[in-house]
Amino acid sequence: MHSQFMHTSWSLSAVIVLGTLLTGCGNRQPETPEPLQPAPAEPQTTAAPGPAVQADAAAATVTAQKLSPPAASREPELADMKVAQVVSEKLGVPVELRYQLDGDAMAGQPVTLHLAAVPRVAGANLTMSIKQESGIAFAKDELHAAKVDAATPYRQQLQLARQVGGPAEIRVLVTMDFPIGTGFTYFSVPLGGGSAQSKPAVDGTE
Amino acid sequence: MPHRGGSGHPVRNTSTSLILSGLVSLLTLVACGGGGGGGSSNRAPVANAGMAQTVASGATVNLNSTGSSDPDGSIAAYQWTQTSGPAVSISNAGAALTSFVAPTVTAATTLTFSLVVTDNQGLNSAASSVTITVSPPAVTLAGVVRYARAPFDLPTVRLDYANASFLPARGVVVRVLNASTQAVLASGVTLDDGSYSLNVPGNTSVTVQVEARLLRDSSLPLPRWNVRVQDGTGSTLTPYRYTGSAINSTNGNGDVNIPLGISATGAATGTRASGPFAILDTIYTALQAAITAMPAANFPTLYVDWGAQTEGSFFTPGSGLHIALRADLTEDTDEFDQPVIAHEFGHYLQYSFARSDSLGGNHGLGDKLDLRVAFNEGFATGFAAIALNDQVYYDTFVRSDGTLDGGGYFIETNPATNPPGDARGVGCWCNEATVWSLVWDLYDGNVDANDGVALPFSAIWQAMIGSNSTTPAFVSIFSYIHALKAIRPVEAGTIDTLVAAQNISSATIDDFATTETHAPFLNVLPVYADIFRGTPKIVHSIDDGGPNATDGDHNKLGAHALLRYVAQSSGNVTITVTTSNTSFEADPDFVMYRSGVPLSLGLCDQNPIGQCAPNAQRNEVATNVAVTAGTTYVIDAYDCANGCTTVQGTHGDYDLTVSIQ
Repeated sequence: MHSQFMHTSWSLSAVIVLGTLLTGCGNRQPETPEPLQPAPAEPQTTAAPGPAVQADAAAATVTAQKLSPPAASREPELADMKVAQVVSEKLGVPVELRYQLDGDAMAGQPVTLHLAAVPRVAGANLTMSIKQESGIAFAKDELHAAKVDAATPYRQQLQLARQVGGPAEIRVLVTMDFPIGTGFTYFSVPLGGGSAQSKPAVDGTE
Repeated sequence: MPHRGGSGHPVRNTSTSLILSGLVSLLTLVACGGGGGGGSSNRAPVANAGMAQTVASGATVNLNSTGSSDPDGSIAAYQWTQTSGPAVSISNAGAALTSFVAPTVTAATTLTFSLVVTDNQGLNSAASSVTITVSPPAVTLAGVVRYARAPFDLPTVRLDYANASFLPARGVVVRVLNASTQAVLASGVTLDDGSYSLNVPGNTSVTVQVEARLLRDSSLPLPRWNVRVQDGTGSTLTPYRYTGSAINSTNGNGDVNIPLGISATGAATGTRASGPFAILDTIYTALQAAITAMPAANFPTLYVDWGAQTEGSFFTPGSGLHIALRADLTEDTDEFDQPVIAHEFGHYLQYSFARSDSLGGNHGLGDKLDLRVAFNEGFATGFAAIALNDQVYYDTFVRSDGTLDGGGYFIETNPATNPPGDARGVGCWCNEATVWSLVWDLYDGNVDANDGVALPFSAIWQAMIGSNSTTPAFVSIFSYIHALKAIRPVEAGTIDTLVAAQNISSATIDDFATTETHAPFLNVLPVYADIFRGTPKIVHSIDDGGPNATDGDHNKLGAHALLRYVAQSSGNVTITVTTSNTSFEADPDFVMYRSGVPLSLGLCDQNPIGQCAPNAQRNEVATNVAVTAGTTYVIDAYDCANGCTTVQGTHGDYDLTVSIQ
């Protein structure tokens, strides 16, 4: 049964058409169950089209669409990239996500976002993708690495543009397969500010 | 005896005493010159007919005038008069305290009574009224409370919203409210089939309100619990509630079906009303497992925070005991992820009844964790599998493009079945998957490779709360297995076989892992280094995962170095920890513990100057640390570049020189 998780997880992802689940996806806030009221529909995210660009990543197949056609910029050193915070500290993927923005995304101009997923242990089928949200335009394609080695950065770079009133952060989903199952972790990447290599204090047990 | 007038309404009782009182008052006023301008005029008494009441048909109703008063004398007479409603017989209309028998009515009926009092000088008060609402005879309102649950579909590894079904809401608080006044007419708790039965006034418009609270209170013998789900993080918030449509209490259907509010594709279609009750039902299942081991437990109040403000799923013992669960339909929502909920409840159990020394923090499958974290997380997952009797641990999520997906693990699978040297999670005392597979194998009845043991959960839990909870070492798989073997000597051999297969030296196991020989990487053995007063000890704070690792999360194996110190004599000692880290931000910290309780902090962050002395003084000192002869202490030492929640400096492998003087 080991392969069942992996196989079904991936087949599911492959067959479901992008975007079919986005419309009305989101009452993100459970409310007091009375009185009954319909939840507001969440606007569908629009990602600007653009040519595909091959990003640099060892042992990874990366395809990223960019908002504008300039060639991929040089990847920053891993040590110079900031560490993204996990959204939920329950059991997830053993991956550290680092990021760097070549510019101030909050200023409204397109900026290049560098992402690097660094697994702490080996596995398979690492994916990295950005959650589509209103007010942020970016490439849709996700990174996929079939073979995952420990301590190897799996990089992706793309351009994103934050619209006025857009979110102050983006969410990056990383998934990974293991011999006994599949894990996922959502990371939070702030579009402005943030200190390099800092992590929040933990006051709970996950 | 009131008389019924032609209109059917009661007429006022023309009391002879009232007339006489008036005449006396009039005469008194005339004799005193009309009452104007005199310095000793009598002031009128004040009548008080008491508080409004709601009573059942046929009930004896007391009318009470004791709130009446006279400002300059005393009250000499009382007069009760019925002014509306079906006529009743007042037992003594001239008494301060009187009563009547409520009529039998078929619908809620209001009766009004007036009270006039007369003072000792014969002056009457203004009338005071009281309303008595008579309810129809009680009836039994019965029904079943169900909530909608989206099942986990194993083949597709996701929540199947399209096939949600209604399941009994067990053990939740249910109330019957008057639909007009919202007054609570009756309350109770649903049974295991979701049913309830409450006596309420008949022929009354009522609503059935279900509160997201599991309650077994002091009106019942132990065990007791109080678990509620709320939208927020405080301890005074109101739990979620769901109220059904108004029904007639005599002939209405008391069933309540709490809706899902989510479409087949996972989008909200309305209020997600069933979520809190799905959470509670999983906790109810976990409670039933817990009470098999603790049948007389008094579970501390547990708050479950599930709402827009919840950014994460975790247990925290901060202000009250809280489980937070995510509720984001666009990323990750946990109300139907039963293993996640049961896992967090497992943490609650450990904290409340056993002992947890965990550091918390991020952790992923296959991570080599600090032994405290590995055990805490692994046991909670093992408990979840036992409580749910399901070896599939799943946690669903939503992909970035909105498609439903899920992650999951097979609890039965032992990490040690991976090839030796496989970095993807070999059996290790530092691996939470090792711990959960052991906990599950200790429990399950399957006889598979190296697993010839099947213990009841009560035995598994007894080891948790026994010597494992008082060990001078940290709570870990070592102290746990040691405790389990002590209370289950007959199974000790089979336990050794099982545990040893996970690369743990079980046959000679003790709380401090003295004989452990399995090292995931260099410089992590011994698990606890012995230190003696006057003899400095060099230990290591390691960037987790070995030299190629890039992350220095504080809760990973090797970031913290553990030392065992047995005080030879009582008195004060000075503890010094010095790091080999030469960076400007170098910060060696340490904490000394006795049976898991921190005693002495050597934390640079608490230094009054706010930072560590750079370079010139790469040490941390704690003076006047009182120790007791024969007592065993644990010193947890680490370089803050590796072991702090907020990383300070550059990760790396650093030597720590620890001395006790």
